Amino acid sequence: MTPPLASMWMPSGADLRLALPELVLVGALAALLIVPLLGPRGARSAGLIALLGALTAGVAALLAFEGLPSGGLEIFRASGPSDPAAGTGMLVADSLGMFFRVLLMFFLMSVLIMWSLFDAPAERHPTEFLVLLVASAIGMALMTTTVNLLLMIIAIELASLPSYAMSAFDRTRRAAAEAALKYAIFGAATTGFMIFGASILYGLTGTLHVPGIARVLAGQASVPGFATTLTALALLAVFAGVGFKISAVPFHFWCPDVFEGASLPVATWLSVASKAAGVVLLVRLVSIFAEPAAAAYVAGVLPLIKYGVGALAILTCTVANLAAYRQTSVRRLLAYSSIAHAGYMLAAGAIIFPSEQPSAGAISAIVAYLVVYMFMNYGAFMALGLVAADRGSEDLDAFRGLGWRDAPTAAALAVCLVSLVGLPPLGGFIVKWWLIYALGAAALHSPFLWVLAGAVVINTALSLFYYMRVVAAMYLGAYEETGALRAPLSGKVALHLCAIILLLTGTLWIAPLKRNADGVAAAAYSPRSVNAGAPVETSISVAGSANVR
Amino acid sequence: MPPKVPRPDPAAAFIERTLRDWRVIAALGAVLLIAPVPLVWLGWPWIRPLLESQFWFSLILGGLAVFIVIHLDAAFILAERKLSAFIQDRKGPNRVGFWGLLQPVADGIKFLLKEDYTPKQADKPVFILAPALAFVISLAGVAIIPWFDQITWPWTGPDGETYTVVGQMASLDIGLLYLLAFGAMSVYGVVLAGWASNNKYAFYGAMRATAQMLSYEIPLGLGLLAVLLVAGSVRLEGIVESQAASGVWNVFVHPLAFLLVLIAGFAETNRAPFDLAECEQELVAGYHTEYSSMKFALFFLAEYSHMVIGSALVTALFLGGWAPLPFTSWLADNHTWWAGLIKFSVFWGKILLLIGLYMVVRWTLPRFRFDQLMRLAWKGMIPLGMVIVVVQGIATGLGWRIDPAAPWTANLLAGGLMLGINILITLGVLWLMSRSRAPVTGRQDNLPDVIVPPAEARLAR
Amino acid sequence: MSERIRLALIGLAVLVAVTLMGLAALLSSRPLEAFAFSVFAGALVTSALAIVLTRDIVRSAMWLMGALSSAAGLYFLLGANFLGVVQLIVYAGGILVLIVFGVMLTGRSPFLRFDPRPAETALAALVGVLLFAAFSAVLLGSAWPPLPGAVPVRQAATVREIGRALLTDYLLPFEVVSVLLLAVMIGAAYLARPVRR
Repeated sequence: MTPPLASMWMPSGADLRLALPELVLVGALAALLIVPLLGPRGARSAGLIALLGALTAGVAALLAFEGLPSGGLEIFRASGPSDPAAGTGMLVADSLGMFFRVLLMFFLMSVLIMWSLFDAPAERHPTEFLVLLVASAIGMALMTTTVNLLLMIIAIELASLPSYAMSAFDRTRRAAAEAALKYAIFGAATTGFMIFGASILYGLTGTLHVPGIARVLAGQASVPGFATTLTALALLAVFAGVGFKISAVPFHFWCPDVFEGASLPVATWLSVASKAAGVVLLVRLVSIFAEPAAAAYVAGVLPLIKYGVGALAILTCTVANLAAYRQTSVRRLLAYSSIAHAGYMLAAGAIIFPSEQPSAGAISAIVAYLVVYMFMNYGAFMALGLVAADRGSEDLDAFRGLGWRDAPTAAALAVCLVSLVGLPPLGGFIVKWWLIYALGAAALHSPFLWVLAGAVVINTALSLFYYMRVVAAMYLGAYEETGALRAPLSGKVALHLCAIILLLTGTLWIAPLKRNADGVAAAAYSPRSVNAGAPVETSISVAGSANVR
Repeated sequence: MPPKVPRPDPAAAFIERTLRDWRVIAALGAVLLIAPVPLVWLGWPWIRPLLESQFWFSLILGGLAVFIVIHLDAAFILAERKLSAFIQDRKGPNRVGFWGLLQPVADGIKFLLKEDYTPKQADKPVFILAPALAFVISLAGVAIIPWFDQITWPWTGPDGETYTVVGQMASLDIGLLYLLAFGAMSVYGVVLAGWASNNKYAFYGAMRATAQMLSYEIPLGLGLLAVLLVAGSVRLEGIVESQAASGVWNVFVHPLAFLLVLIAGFAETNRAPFDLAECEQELVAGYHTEYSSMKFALFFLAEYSHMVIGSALVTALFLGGWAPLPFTSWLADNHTWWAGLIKFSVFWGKILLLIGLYMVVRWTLPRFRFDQLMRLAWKGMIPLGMVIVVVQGIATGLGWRIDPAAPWTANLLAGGLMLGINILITLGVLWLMSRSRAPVTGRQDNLPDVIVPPAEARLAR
Repeated sequence: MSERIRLALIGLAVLVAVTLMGLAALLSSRPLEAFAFSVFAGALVTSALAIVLTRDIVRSAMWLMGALSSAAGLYFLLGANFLGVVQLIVYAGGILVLIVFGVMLTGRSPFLRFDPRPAETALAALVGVLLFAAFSAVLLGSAWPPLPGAVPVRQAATVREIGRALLTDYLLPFEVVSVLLLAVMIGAAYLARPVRR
């Protein structure tokens, strides 16, 4: 009746080792809560704990690259006697996930530095803020490594709910509360949709394991009465939840308001981490659905995903770029810019094929894009923060004459902005070129992707003007002489580092970037290679039990 | 001129004289007790099939239990008044009937005949719904209380088959969770009453009651968890049977959890010392300030039904349920009808004892202050409950168990071990309490100082 | 049309519907179950309609309680006891109490009554009708229950099985949820604290 400890199910050591980054973060979270009770309080020690946690987690993720099999492997496999989907994993450990964790941890450290510059000195509740930040980082890390619908939803919630609280963290600003409310209500609605879709998928297929779902769906091509509409509805709902995280266009309303209401580090964090996690999750879902056999392709599900994601991408970047024109606040402008960039990355998500090659190209393009996007966005936000701290305003007018008052800062910001547009010789151009190239390569199989590639090019041209408005404000026109920018040195150093990295990735580092991105993409998780060696071959047992029924 | 003395109404005088005669009471009681016998005898052919099928038997059992609960509620009101009188050295009600035994009847008539007043500004449908909801929800727990284990009827069917029925209305897989669910729902009666009355005292009362009930659900749940781990079952009948079979009742194994559940039970019923929701000195009468007549009576009945169901829960979880004697498995395997009757009575006897405890506590302990109330729940009972659950969880994980098949000495040893751990925990808690700087009674450090107006100001006024 | 008349009309319509369903239930092979279903479904539909049509927000919340409880009843009827109880504990007993609390604490302010403009009502009705049409089309047009090849979902899992699954196969989501709850609790506690300037 009562099981002794020995017979209880425990995750294996290998599982825990591969999930070490998350475990370290959870440990950091606990330390954040406990250390103030034991003695050292205040923003400095709390920030240090979070920084150490992020560093350790990042190193753990880097080390975990060693020995990862190509195609990844599923960990935390179900072994209980009661589960119908025995043998399926909760998480995957693969190059894409590990890469994302390294990126995320690096970015977390950068945001912590930004926080220590702008917010920490006046922060009365550093522990609370950092706990929320670290918790959302855990959620994002899980989002990109899960292959289980249930865990996916929980991870998305773990990434979102702390973000709502973080965006309302400045209690003295009404705008923050309003934006957070908008964010939370919007998020709750999309979560509701997503859970609805997920439960329909579960009801249809009887499993929560995403590759399992894809496999069941793929087998339905010739079955009469196939619930295409129902599946379509369910998938739409699930993708709506992911789209919300990315702030793809019909779900983007929260984004500018939240970026404006929240403090700068929070806005930076959300603009990169949340979107990157959403994009990686989307890519993972799409590539899993593209995986099982060409049969699914006929069934009507795959074209649906492809055209859906493609339409979403076009809509997202176009609407965001058009809306960015009207903005006078640089922060709102950057918000719309981040939506537009999410749109570009989404476009790569539309490349899905049963064959290996184009899909790997898309993943590689996105990996490279994420790296460069992180630096250019961080640089832009950092410059915005420095200017705002000096001038007390985030309007375009605050940037007037910056090019003459403080030439190095202005130059660095200009590099970031030009890179955001995607002009040579900067990193932004290279990664956008790879993206368009991947689209073009895949378009040989599916002409629809030409439309997408065209949309990306046109939007790049569109976006040129509003980024250039900032650059123009810095260098052209009259300004009042107020002397050099009074800004902390470390902030400037970070900004310049970003600019230098953007220059390097656009020139000397093209080859290493490409090589590494391709490496990550080639070894990314694929259910076929994983489940071939699985101890329990689920597809056989699935078919067997269905026949019994 | 002396005041005019009204002439006594001869009819009223006769009724009063009659009702004060103990022989009349005795005769009434005897008739009520004996009347069913010929009825059952006459209707046996129709009653028998009802007893054989579990469905009808459950209905009969449920009806019987609700009947008993409602009538006991009336009796409890009298008992409570008598007991309070005893504690306060008064006589208590002694006018209606012999020893005031018919006081509940008089109370009932009074409630029915009083004006049923609804305030003008009240939200009328909600105002009417609230007491009904409170009463209905308080009775819902009757459905899963295992009054006895099972009865195999002494007669057989035409093919020699025997009939066995279970002494529980519904044997639910979820068991305890059902009780927790309805415990959570019981907030509504109070909240809606407070809201619908459109009276600030009623509203404050409702808010206090809600906060209190939500807070005390947690230690209640933690206490239940410990018992679940011991029994290895969520089913109430499973928990009772495991105690009855081994003879080691849970109260001997987990006295601290027993205390937690008991105290949380007091709090859930909103009775003193937890009656902040209706404390007279502050809130007139709390959430039922605006209620009168039978609607008020429904709240009263709901409180007493809540007590009965709560006591039944504690009985089933900790006091061995229907098991008549501790440390023996006497009657545990006896499924004859008379054994069933004994178990049924034993169960009710334990309930009555617990309710006596409820009443004594109510009339002896002073009321908590609100911050003390919250501190007790959140800083006292919840951590304690967590410790108990963790300890029991580890013990269960290590294979500690009370096995009905094992010899009773082994079980006594296992139970004694857990009891020892409980005592250790208690000592630890006492040690912590002795060390803590905050007084146990609670002190609000952040209250503004009381501003005493200077003497001149007082004089000027 | 006053609220009273509107609610009375709804009540009447539903009463007729439930009576008809009850009569139909008597004809079916399992009358008791069919009858219980018609009661719960009727209550669910009535309360759902009333939530939307009531202007008073506290009464809306009350109707919501009715809707949630009848949904729980439907779960019980399907044999999903655990789900039903969780529905009662979490939604009816927990979340809704908080909603009611929040609503009451905001006082009798203008927010307590919904007075949508006709355009808003029309838009909401349109969206509702469209969603309803989409869902019913999908539900009616689907091969439902599961697709061939799908893993059969276990019927009416007991508490024991659910608990076992939570602590073995679903241990990771379980633990992640605990991190989630911790973070949410801290966030909520922070946001609820009064602002000290």
